[in-house]
Amino acid sequence: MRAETHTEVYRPYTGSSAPSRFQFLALARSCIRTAARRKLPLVLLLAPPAIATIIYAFVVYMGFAIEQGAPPQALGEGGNVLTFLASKMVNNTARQLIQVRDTIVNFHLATNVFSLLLMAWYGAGQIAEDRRLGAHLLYFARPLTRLDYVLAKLLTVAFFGSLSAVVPGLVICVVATFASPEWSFLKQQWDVILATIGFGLFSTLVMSCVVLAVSSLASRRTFALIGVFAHVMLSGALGGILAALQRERDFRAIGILQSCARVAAWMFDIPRGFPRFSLTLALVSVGVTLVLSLWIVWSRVKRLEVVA
Amino acid sequence: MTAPIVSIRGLEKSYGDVRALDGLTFELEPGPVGLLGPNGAGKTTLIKLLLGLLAPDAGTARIAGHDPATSAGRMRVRGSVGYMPEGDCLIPGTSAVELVATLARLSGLSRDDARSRAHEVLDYVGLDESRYRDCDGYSTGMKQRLKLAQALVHDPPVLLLDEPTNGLDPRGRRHMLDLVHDLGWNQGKSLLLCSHLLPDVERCCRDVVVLQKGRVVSQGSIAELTRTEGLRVTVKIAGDGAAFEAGLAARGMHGTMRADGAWSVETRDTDCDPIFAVALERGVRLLSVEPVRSSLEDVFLATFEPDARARAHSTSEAST
Repeated sequence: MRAETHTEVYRPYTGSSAPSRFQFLALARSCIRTAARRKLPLVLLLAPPAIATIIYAFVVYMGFAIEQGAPPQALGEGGNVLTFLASKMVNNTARQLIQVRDTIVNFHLATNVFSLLLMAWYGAGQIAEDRRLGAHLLYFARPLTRLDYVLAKLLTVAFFGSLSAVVPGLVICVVATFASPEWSFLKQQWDVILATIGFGLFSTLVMSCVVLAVSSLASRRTFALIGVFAHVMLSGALGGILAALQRERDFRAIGILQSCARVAAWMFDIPRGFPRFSLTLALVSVGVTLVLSLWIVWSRVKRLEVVA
Repeated sequence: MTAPIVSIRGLEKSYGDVRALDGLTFELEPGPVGLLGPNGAGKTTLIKLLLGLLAPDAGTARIAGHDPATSAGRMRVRGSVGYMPEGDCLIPGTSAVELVATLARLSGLSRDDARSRAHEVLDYVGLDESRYRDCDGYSTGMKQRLKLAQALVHDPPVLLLDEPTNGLDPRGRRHMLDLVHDLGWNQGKSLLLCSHLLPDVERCCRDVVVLQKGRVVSQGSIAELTRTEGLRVTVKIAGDGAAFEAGLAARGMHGTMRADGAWSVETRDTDCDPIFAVALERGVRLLSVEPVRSSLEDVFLATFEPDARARAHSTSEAST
């Protein structure tokens, strides 16, 4: 005997329905769940930032342990030659990176390409594939505003970006907090935590907008993926070439990643060792990119919602 | 008189030089209505205009009492209308339950209601355990049912169905038409069924609007449109065919013999008595007399190709 699980009888809906102010959250949640279903790329793309997080957190831990004059437990007990050499090596590294702020900025510089890759991988198809498949018809046949749609897509890309741009920085801060003697990191360098969150969100927002803008212009995901990297690489290369030819470092502000790195140096108050060109130009470059990207996304989504 | 569910006045829409809608004007009463027309007649454009997915060049449209041309009206229209698009438009990597529940959330249902309502409508359209699978691997029939489910999930009073039987096998088509018929006739939904498959419209709809080149060329109830003046019958006889034909002509009727030997007779009377009289007079034995109903296809062909009417008659009679 076969069990019947449904009766195929239409049941009118008796509940209430009123579009919420935060509809974008429902759509963003769905987009994130759908994107995260592909586990292998997620693991592969998160592996480099995760490994870098472990290394940099370890360096911070070592720095504080050596600063306190105690041999770090991770290197083992006792005073043999191996432990001595190891602590000497860590000591040298720690001198360079004792400042957690330096470590976090270094981390960002080391992993920004991976963050970009993660955002591009999961964000490139967000609008391009909706348009190609016609899924926007399903969304915009509902009381969903253009703003909700854009926010949902932005949140989706930013979510994946924050996994490699905000979370690792916070992990390093947590390690620093617990490794520092008497919570000295929390008491004396609390601004680093704010800068970590602030810069993580800032870089994620900028790159998310760039990714979405390219996605809204491309006809399919692959083209958008290529477009994002072409934009980032070409702008960086152009800035570098012009800076070299003209012997003017300010041209480096043309590169979006370089401008973000300059803003990072400013936000974390790093005096040297990082890109040294005009902060104003870097902020203008990032601002123009942000505004232009948002304008492109907005006008392209407008065409998805209502074709004039 | 019932308020019209769709009211259109002088609607115009062009894509470059191509005029998709050319001063379209009509009103639709609540109930199941078919929107017929050949490819490029402007059916899909009209549906998108009604949803506010396209902006008209001129004219006004109101659906369910709201104007989709304004921002506020568009939101109200989209809250009270369920739309089943023609293309696949499903999101790869999403299961049917997730997709329908998400779209229910976007229609304003709470999370719990969205989930339970998604299961209810998926039950209704007959997507069983496969609802938990990614829709990437769905057959065309399953995709069509899923699209119908998402259109129904917020229980809208008006449904816009764009080619719901596209690409379905006969079994899937029958199931889909059963669902559409049930929604239109038993569940009290006002539906606009956009199709170029005339039997689909004939089966599911009460009224029909025929479009051609962006204009309404015919509108009314299917019963009225398929009503013929006088009577048309298929007659099988045994005896002298020439005498029978002459007898028909003498009484003002027109008879033609078809390839299969049967006679197609048209009379202005409303019954078959004159045909029986001719047979009696001319000594012809009648083997069978069957009335032929005009189908929507005849009306459609007569509208678009007047010359094809005769062909359509002979085809429908042959099938009879």
